[in-house]
Order: sequence, then C-alpha cells, then structure tokens
Amino acid sequence: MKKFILVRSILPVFIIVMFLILKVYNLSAMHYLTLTLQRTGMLMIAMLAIVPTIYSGVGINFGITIGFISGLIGGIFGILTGLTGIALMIACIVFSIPFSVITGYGYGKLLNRVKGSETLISTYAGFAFVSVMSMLWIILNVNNEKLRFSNGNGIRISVNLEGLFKDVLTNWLSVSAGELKIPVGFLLICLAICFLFSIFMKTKIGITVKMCGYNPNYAKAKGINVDRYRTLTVIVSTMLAAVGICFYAQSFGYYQFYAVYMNLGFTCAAGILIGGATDKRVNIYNVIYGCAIYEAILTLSTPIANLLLPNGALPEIIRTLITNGVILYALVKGGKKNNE
Amino acid sequence: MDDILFLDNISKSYFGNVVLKNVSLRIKPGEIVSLVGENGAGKSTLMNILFGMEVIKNSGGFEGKIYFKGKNVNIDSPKSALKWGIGMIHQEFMLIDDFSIAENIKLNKENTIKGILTKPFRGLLDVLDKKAIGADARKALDTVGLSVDEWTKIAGLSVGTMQFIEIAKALENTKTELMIFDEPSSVLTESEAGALLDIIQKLSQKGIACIFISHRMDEILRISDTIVVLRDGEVVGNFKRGGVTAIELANRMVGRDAVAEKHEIRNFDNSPVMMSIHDLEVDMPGEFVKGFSIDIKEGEILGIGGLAGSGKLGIPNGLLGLYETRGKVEYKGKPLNIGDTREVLSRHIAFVSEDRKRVGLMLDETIEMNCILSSAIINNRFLKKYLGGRFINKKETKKAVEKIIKTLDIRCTNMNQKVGSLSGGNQQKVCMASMLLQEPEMLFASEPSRGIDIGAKVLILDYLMKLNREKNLTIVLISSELHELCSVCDRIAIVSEGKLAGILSADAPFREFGLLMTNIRKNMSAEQIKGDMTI
Repeated sequence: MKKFILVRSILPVFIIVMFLILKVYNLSAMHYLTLTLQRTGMLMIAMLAIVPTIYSGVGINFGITIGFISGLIGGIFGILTGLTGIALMIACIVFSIPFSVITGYGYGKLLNRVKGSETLISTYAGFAFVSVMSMLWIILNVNNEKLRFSNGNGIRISVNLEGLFKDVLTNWLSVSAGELKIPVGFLLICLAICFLFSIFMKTKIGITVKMCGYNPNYAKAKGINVDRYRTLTVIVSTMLAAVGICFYAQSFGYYQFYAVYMNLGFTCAAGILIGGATDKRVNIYNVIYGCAIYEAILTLSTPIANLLLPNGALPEIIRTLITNGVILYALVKGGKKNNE
Repeated sequence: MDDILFLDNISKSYFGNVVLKNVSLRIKPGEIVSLVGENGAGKSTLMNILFGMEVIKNSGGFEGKIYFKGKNVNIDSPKSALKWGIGMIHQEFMLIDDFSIAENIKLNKENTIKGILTKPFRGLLDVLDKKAIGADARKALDTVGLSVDEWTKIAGLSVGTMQFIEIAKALENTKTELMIFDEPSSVLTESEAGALLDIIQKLSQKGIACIFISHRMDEILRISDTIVVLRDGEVVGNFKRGGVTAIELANRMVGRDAVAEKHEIRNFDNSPVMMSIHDLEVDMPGEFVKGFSIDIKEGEILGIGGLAGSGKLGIPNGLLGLYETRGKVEYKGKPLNIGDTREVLSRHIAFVSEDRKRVGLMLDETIEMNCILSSAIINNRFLKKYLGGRFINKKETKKAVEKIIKTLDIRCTNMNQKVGSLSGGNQQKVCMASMLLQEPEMLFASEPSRGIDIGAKVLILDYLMKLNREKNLTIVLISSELHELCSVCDRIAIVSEGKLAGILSADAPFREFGLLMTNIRKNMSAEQIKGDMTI
C-alpha cells in the first residue's frame, strides 16, 4: 500500500513542480490549467475506446484509428445534412455508428485469426486502413464548400468546424473565474460516458467478456463462444473511438482527414498506461486518472521546455517521447510478468 | 561379470510427497531390464534421475548413489549422462522439424573440416563435413534398420520413423553402453513395435544394456531378462526371465497390501439409463477416444480407469465439446448435441476438469467469482435485473458462497482471496463448489484428486459419495488411481487404446483390472491365460 501511494504520487508531484516553475517564469498557470482541463475532455472518450479489448484479452487496441476513420465518415454525412451546433454533433455520432459497427466487425474477425500477436497486427491494420481511406478521401466528390478542397475535388485535409459544432460542449455549463475556465458540462458528459461503460462491464455480458480475458480456456469450458465476445469488444471499441473522434474534433475545432490521426491510437494507449493499466488489466479509473495526468504533463511541460530550449518542434518531440516511452515501458513490464 | 549400473538406495520426494523409497537396481552389460508399474509408481522419476533431467535438480535433488561401471558418478545434467555413455529415448521427440535426418542425428556432434580459423575460433567457424555427417548418419540408420534417405527432412515423417531416428541418434554416440527406453512403443503401430523390440535385442547382443519401460505386458515378457515391478515408489518384485506370468505381474503392479475401504456396492442392472454413449470418438491429443460405448445408469457412481494415454480423459472432455468429437449420445432418452458445450451444461451436466489451473479456474479471480460465475452465466442464477441489465446479486452470492466454503471446508482468509494463492487441495474444492452451485444432475469428475494432499483427497471423495447418496447425483469418476476408483465406485469401466476394454464391479480382484488395462486378454488366447494362472 505504501509503495502504491508513493508510485501514484510521483506524477502529481511532478505536475505541481511544473506549476511552480510556471509561476517563477511569470507564465499564466491558470491559462495552462484551463488548457489541461479542455484537453482532458478532448481525449477521454478516445482513451476509453482502448479499454474494451483489454478486458476481453485481445490486448491494447492500437488499431482504434479504424474507429476514428469511421467517425470521420459519420462526420462527412453529418455535415452534409446542413445542421449546426449540438444537433450536428449528435447527427455525426449517429451516422458514424453503422460504419464503426461494420468496420469493427471485420477488424474483430481479423484479430481473432491472429491470436497471440494482436498488438502488432492491430497497429498495422490501423496504418493500412488510414492509407486506404486516404485514397478514398481524395477521390470523394462532395458538393459542400466546407468539406471540399477549395480548388477541386476531394475532402480537405482540415475541415474547419467553426460555426458548426466547435466548442458547443466545451462552452456548455462552463464556469469562469478570471483566467481559469472550467468546462464543467463537457467533463461531466465524459465522466458520465466512462461511468456508463463501467456499469456495462458489470452486467452479465460484461462479466462474460472479463472471463474471456482472464482465462479463455475456462470460458470455453463454460460453453462461451470466446471469439464472439472478442469481436463484440472490438466493435464496442471501434464505436467508442468513432464517438471519441467527434469529441476530439469538437475541442480541437477541426476534422482532420488523411494521415493526421495515424498515431493518435498510440497517444490514447499511452494515456491509460500512465494511468496504471497494463496490457492485461485495466479499470475505469486508469482511464480518467491517466487521461488527466497525460494531458497535464504535455500541456505544462511544453511551455517550460520552450523556455529552456527554444525550438519550434519541441511539443511534438515531447509528445512522441512520452507516448512511445510509456508504451515501451508498459509492454516490457507486462511481457516480463508473463514470463515469470 | 561386473554390473554396468548399480543404483544404490535411491529416494526422491517432490515437496514432501515421497515418490521413490530406497530403490536399488543392478544391471549387467547387455541385460534388458524392464520397469513396470502403474502411473505414478515412480518409473519416470527414476529414469529422470538416471539421465540427470533438470526437474530433479530443480525440485531438490535426490538421495542415494549411482555407480556406473563401478564408479560413483554424479549425473547432474543430460550432458554428463551422455558423456558417461547413457542414452535415453524420451516419450516426446526431440527432433528439429526443418533439419534433415542426418543433421538431427549429428546435431552438436558434427564432423567438421579443420582450417586456419579452427584455432582462433576454437572450431566454431569450421566448415561442416557433409560427406562424413551423411556417412555416420547412414551407419546409425542401418543399425536400426531404417532405409529412409538420410537427407530427408524430419517434418512429415511418421511418428514411428521419428522414434527410430531418435534411437539412431542415441546410438550414434559410440560410447553408449546403457540405453533407456521410456515408453517408446506407445506411439508405434504393432509391426513397428515388433521391429523396435528386435532392435533392442540386437543392442543387447552387442553388449549394450537396456532399460525398457512399457505398459504392454506382452512386449515386456518377450524381451526382458529381468523385470522389476515398482509400486508407490518401492520395488515390489524382481523377476528373472521365465519366472513370472502376465497375471502375476499385473497383480503385483496394482495389488495393494491394504485392502480398499469397504463400501456398499450397489447393483443398477434394473435402473433406468441416464446417459447412453455410442461410438464416441474424440480427437484429444494424447488421449484419443476411438469408438467408446457405454450405458450410464441413473444414480450410480461409474468409474472410468485406464493407463495414461488410454483415452479415459478424452471421454469427458469430448462430451463437453472441448475437443473435436463424433458419436451418438442420448441423455435421459433424448439426443444430446455433444459438440455444443452450452447445451450440455444447460441440461445440468457438470464437469470438473483435470486441468485445474488452465481450464478449471480463473486463478487471478476471487473465490467468490470462481464459485458463482458458471451458474450465473449458464443458468442465470445469482443475477438481478436492474435498469434493464442483469447484474451480479451481491447479497445472494455472499450467502451461497459462505455456505459452500463452510460445507467443503475451503481454507481461506475470506471469499475475496484470489484462488491462485490457495493450495492445490483448496483450489480443487473451489472447482467442486463451482460445480455444486450449478446444481447438476450428472457430474463428470476428471481426476479430482490429482496433485492434492491425502486429507483433501479423502474429503473430496467422501463428499462425492455423500452427494450421490443424498441428492441422487449420477457421477462418472475418471481417475488413473485404481485404488481411488475401487473405494468410491459401483462399477468400473476400463479403457484401453481408446475403447472400452471391459466393465468390472468395484470389488473385483485387482489383477482383473490389470489384465484389462494392459490389454492382455486381447493379445493372448484363453488357454494361455489359463496356463499362466496354473504355473
């Protein structure tokens, strides 16, 4: 227990120290705290999308990019309806669900065929899907100023959501105090979705899924079709990712097409791993805590690092370093445990 | 002539469980010694000690001395055993599929062409002398009478051929003076087995001593100079050629000094049939079932026994649909779809797996979850509806699990303890608890006493009997311990080579079981058996 508290307190202490440094250099700590809170909401659902497959024993789903792309397809259909505001956001989510179910089903079937090396295969399946869809984006002919390249056919690289649904959730029920602006409504919605998911995992279906993850042989001896439940979690994961990308775009202000989301899956995986999940065990607190901590580290460390080492690409470098470092650490640790 | 091998008072225990007690054995050059005994009698352990297998060292070594050619030797690894001239043919093959026969035979003993790089790299960079390797391999193959081309790849060869290659590999070591054959014939066809026996006899004529382990009595009687019978880790018989009969051997093998505890053996001839199995075939690796048929009567305890690999474990695993299964099964007069685990379980047939750790339990989960999950998932028990979803009913499960922990005397701190941290016996009790909460009408208990201490074993067997008597639960008990079957069952079916060899009452003499297990009846005429019995 003592060790647990010690390990868990390292990151919060690190964050407090960074706040102090910000103060020392006369940077606005409140501004960066606001950013942290917004970004926490921005990525929480996408991070939640990693979780279902860990429960069912498929492992960390690096291929949730497939879900992000499904969300983008829903987004295109949503924007074509001509709606705006919260109605548009709901429409985008609703339209993305059938696509995410179809892609999730196919992707789940694929992962059942490659048992034992899901981590590797999911990564490349995600990459491949992004590339295939990039070809589709370029030939897609839509009659909409916002979506189309200004000088011809094909979908834009960045679709600006200003005036569509940018910040509709972030501004909902938000509380301002000086420079600090807390997106209360946005965070509450994200937490509610996490909470609903954790209730789902406590139902009979959820318990069966966990059983498949803990011991597939046991589950098989109880007459459970393990492959079916694995596919189910991949579908749920893909669906959550599709919803997650909508939340992400809402905060970010842009839908981004082509290869932009290629590595977003790694970011999400790193988030829950920082939160204390492993490739075998996870709970909902890993997601919430991990998401907040991960975003805090990135948001706060970037201005400080910029002060010390003036370089334009620094935020990206830090992001890559932390993301890949955490994933590497977690997988090595998990692998070691398996061997023992 | 001097003994080539003298094992002096070898004792060995695995974590307090004694498996060998003061075993002594003398072997002369060229002598064929057969070791016979039930499963778990200590044959394999003794051979592992002799061959320096790692399991022995890892579990605390052994007591006693080994004298090889009169010298007290310390064999601490297979490598040193090979150095002394002891070869061993294992039950499992140790061949590399993608290499040719010749390469396998000469593995790590390759002939090389020496050159200028030999010295600085201590021979590691030498070029292989393919010609010499091929010639050596050919010679070794000729000794075992294999005409296969020495450059054929291992992959795709028949099991029998591979067995002979293993032997050739051991013989290629020209120093070999003692060969150990650990059940080499169990994977061979009859004619291949015959060829193998010829080779063993040829080796013996060359002066190479052989230790032969087999479950087939006819083979043992045919080639042995000496037959040593092991039972519960002790030598209970040492016979010279011609001094013993198959019946006597079987009797020695399974017979106990202590008679099985008497229990009432009931007759179910006129009871209704609970389950009738026709021509069951199961593709369970190592435990193939090839056409097993039996009628199981309502309310009885049926034992299924047989030697390792006889297919007795395949029967329950196949019925539950865990392996590819064919055959016709009727349960309570209606056909049962045996491939469908869910259907079998939902008709109140429960199964306690022999593989506790892999199939029977979720080791990382709590006792509570392990106890109730099967019933929750199969029979929708311990669930309550809430907001349209079905959740675990904490109150109900707590009551039920606490009660069952008390009944079965599961030793734990509380029901939230992880099952993986319990002892083997208590883990087995959790398996039983999970099965009981499913409220079965028929139970398949596969090796319920494997690897647990005697106290827990007695408790579990007594509890099975109690369940049978009080709740009229029909039980099929599969076990490799005949003693255990006799102390609980009404009838005992013996399985041999995937088929039903015969059904005996639990109070039948032990030698009858031995005869069925080793399939002597089939291979010997009635007169032979009779004649043997009068000697």
